[in-house]
Amino acid sequence: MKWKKQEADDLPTLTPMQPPPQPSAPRSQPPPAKERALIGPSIEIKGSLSGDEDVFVEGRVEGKIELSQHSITIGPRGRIKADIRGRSIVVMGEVEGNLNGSEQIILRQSSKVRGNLVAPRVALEDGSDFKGGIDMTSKPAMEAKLPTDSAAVKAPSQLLPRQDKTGDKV
Amino acid sequence: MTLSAPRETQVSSEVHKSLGLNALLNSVRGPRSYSILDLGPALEANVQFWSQFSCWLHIHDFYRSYREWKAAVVPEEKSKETAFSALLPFSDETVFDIILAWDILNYFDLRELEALVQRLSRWCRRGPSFSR
Repeated sequence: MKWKKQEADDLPTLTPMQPPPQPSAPRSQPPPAKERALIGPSIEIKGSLSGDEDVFVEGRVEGKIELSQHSITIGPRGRIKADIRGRSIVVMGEVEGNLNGSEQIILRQSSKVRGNLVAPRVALEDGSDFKGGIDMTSKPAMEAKLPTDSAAVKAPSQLLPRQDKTGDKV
Repeated sequence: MTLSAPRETQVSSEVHKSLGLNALLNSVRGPRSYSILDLGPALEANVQFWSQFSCWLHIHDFYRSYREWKAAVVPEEKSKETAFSALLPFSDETVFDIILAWDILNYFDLRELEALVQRLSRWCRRGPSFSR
């Protein structure tokens, strides 16, 4: 359904409920942020990358990345030549290899991916440079109801003139 | 393919004008999985659309690849047949139920079109749908 500002304006304002005052507890360190390993832009790994925490890759990896239970983010400067297996995979950089996400795969606008994607949910932002296959056969057909509003059935929308063409015959 | 879509799930033609595409989209309802070759660029809305179905979607921005190939190859080495072979490197076992060509056919002359369609036809299941 298309979001209408008017509808948003009509919604009552929600105010977070204030928790009742608690007796003061001894001061402690704030809970640690979710652990995430960073592969910096100057790091180059050839071989297999595996582990037990989320990872953010800004460097180069050639080989295999396997973090089946964790999130893998390929940052804008990340350059990967490897098959990637993870729970959730987000790509902002370049990947040459197959991606297998047990939860989801997201290709951001800045991504360039050559390979096949396998995941229950695949999201691909316009502008991402993707060439390959997307396996959507793992879920039962017709599981989701078809959209009934015109905004949702815009796709496939490529009948519209392509913006990147000059009109010249090739 | 069986046309079994309930009335309320018919795809609207307000967005696009292709009657053929309407018929095609309304026919891909059902339990079976489809293999689809999309020769256009990867678009969020299209991936979202096809994600409602059980399918294998292969996205291959053919026009862009062809432009890049033309820019990279020296003129005397340019052969359309070579280009189409290199740019559509699917194995002989590959079968597509649907090939979405969009408007790229408008950008080829008849000879090129013939070569392209010949190349694509080897992967078409009997009774393919070309949508443009």
